[in-house]
Amino acid sequence: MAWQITVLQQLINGLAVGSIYALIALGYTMVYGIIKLINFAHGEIYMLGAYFGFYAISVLKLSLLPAILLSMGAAALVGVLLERIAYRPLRSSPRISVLITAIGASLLFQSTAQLVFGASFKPFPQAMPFRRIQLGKVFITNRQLLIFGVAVLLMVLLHLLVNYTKFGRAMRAVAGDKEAALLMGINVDRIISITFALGSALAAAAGILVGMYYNRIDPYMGMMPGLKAFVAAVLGGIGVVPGAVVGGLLMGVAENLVVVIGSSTLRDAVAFAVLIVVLLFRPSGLLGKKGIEKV
Amino acid sequence: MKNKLSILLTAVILLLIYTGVRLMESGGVLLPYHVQILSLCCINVILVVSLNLINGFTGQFSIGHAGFFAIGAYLSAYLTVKLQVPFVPALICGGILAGITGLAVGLPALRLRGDYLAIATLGFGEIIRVIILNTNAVGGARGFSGIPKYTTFGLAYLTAIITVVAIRNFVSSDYGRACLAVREDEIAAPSLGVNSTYFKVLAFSLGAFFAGTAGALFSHYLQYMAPTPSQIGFLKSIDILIMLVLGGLGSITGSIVAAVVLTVLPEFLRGFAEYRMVIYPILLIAVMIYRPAGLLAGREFSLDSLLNLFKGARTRVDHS
Amino acid sequence: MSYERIKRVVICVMLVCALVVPGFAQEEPIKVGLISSLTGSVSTYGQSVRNAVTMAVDDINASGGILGRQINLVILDDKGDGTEAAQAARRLIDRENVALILGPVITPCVMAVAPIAQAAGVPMLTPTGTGDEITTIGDFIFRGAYKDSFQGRVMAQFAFENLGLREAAIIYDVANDYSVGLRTAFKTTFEGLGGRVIAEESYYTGDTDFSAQLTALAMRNPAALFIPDYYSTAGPILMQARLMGMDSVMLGVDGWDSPDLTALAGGFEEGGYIVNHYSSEVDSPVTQEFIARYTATFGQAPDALAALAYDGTLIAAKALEAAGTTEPAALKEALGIVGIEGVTGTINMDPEGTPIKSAVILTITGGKWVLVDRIDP
Repeated sequence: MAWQITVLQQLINGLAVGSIYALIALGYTMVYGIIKLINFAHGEIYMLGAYFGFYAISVLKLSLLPAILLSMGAAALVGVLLERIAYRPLRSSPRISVLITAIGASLLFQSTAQLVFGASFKPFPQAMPFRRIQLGKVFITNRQLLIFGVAVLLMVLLHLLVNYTKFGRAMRAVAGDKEAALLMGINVDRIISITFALGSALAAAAGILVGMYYNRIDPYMGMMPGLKAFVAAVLGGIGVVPGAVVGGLLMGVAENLVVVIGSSTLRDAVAFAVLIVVLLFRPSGLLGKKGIEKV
Repeated sequence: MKNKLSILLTAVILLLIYTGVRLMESGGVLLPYHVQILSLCCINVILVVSLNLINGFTGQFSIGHAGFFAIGAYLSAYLTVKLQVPFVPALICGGILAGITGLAVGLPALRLRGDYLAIATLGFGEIIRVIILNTNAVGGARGFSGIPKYTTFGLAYLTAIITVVAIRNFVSSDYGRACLAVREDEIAAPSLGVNSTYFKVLAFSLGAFFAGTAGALFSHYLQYMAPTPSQIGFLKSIDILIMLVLGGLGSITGSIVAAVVLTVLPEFLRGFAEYRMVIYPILLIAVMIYRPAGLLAGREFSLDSLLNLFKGARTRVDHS
Repeated sequence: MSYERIKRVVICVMLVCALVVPGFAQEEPIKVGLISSLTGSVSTYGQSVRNAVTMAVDDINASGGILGRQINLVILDDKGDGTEAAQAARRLIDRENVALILGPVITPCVMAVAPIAQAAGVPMLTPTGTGDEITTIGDFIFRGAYKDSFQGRVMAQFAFENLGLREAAIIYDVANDYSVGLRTAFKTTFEGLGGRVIAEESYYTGDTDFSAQLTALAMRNPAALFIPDYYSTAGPILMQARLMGMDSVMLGVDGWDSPDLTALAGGFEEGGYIVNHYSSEVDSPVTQEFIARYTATFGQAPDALAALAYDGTLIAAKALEAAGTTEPAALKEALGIVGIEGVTGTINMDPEGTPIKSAVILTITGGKWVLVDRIDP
């Protein structure tokens, strides 16, 4: 009986972590879908979101909700600026140039954050007391509930936005065929900017949630989650919005189950192994469509 | 270089450089501090030129190069320390195992393009690091200490020269042209009789082999290897990539210049150490936006051209 | 007198002064090098060390310096990377001609520098390096902290003998030699005494989510949980473990010692035990004064690494004083036998390179560290 409980508990933990991955992965997937770019600096936007929240709560003395909103807004601005300054000039450049620029942007954010915020691990101001809720033999913390709640809310909002608004239609049009969208009178540049803004806002929300959940932030916190969220996006099908959610949740759960089944030592390697296996055998991901490369 | 005179001249110049360094070293003009920097320059030249073969000349986007470097470093160290193998055979073995790993990475790489390949190679690099981290025979997390100092400046310099010559010859041979064809248009190349598969894998293996030799030289220089991201992980891979990109993809001369400059420059900028990691990325982004072909823009320095200039003949532009 | 003439006279006077005054200048300063991780992922520790060493040097200089000479501290950054550390070492030795090298901070950097220092015959003292193999490199290599094997052993003995624990679990960082070394030492000693390590889980440096590992451990319901890592990771682990309902006795190491532990652990570090170099409540005026001044100067209380770095500098200074010269061989000899009353207690150096110093066991009660026991080597 014991191991079933463990699995159930790990499932809950995994879903919490997975929700975070999903929020970050959404940003990756939306940007990739629209301009075919892996925004390496996305993990750093997540990190900046956490820091914005930190300052909002501890310096500006805001409560949780306004802090989250403020942080999301600030991160959206950063995302838009990043796109404008670093990526837009390279719209027609070879892929390798843009990818290298993205790597450069990622390093720049990390180093600047270290200079500005300091290198130390900062404890996150706790805006909520700790509470555990027992559900039979397993339990869930109020922070985990918060993560689920916020993540689900944001994902639903995004889904509504993408599928039921004019703007969402424009996004899908640009993702489908940029030239055609231009011909239809869509302001492609603006759509791209807004996509970056949305993705960044989601990442920032994830950042604050993580800050609260794990109680600690530092300038390098975006590296591993960023990479793992990217794997999640690829797993679910990069460019496909529901794919990011599925991929993120799967990654979170898989990571936690690996520890139960096997060794915790190789947990990181699992993420990369998953990535390579997916890329080799089903590069379009679980929910993606197979694309044919035309000569 | 087809001109016998230019080959001779190059050899003489290289020999003079070496002799100059040794003389200055024994005369006390060059401190061990300087010689260390020069040796590291040579090792970085090998790394950047070998990566250029994969990324620049064959157009494959590999950012896991540090993995091959790590394999060469650790295997050669294991051989010399635990099995008392002499240095040069150990170095070659390190390179060979790295080359075989390049084969293993190259084969699946066939199916991937651009961004996906980049991420996959990054993943491979990290998997290699995690494996080393968990291998107690080479120290695991504690690192591998007690490696004898077999690498001298002369050896590093010689290996660098061999690497550059080998890759340059490869590039200007038929094999090299095939790789270029793969770079220009992977899908059309087979229609010209070029087996994309074969050449991609060849480029990976060859590049990996040389990276492995660089690793062997490195571990026997520093005398200690730590399985950290900055020494054998993605941070190191990115370091090499930055040098490659700034020097210019497809330009061997550019790779050499960038490797040397970016190894030496941080020493001069020690006052700005805290800002270095802010300046480098800005530089990288600026280069990508304003001069994406790199500093040398894909051109090569050729002694031929220089000599022709002296002779008054028109300079032949070497297409690379 | 014309303006021109006045100018000429003034210049002549200045020139004369410039020639004469240097003759009255102080004696040449003693150059000491510090290699620390000021940037990179462990920069928070590197900066602590830099702060403490700078303060120590300032203190020494203010009270007249060593042998009547001021200390000129040359600080170089190793960015947490072995190659950079090696470069820094070479520069200090060849260009700066330092009498002694303090640092580096973390073992990968220490292990890269030690062979260089040893071969060049320049004494090196790492105040914080705890890896056992560090001092095996040679007789010019010293450390200011005890070895991982000692600390791990002390905690295991305390757990078994004083707390009467017979079962323990361990969660450690498999990518960090400090954590790995402590875990091995603890496990060996604990099992050697007759205890059982019933479960072990590991994670990687930088991980923040330990729910998977802790859930697995919680299932075994261990009487004690040993967490050999720095406060920045131990804090979150403590919090997550307690939130998960684990009521094991929490055992820790000197790396827990930081003013930020309480915040990072959310208050859940309460009741935990650690091995440390000193207790801030020890009635030592040196310790109290150090804590007060460090806090005033740098705006935050010092952590264990800062305290060790301060003492490391004092050791080096005393050795220089005792040797009476900056000549390496004599300095090396002095370093092997010097003793100080530092902020981390009484330290007597040993020619092997590792200091003989006692350890203390502390527990945290009501948010404050309280002395429980003291173990002499």
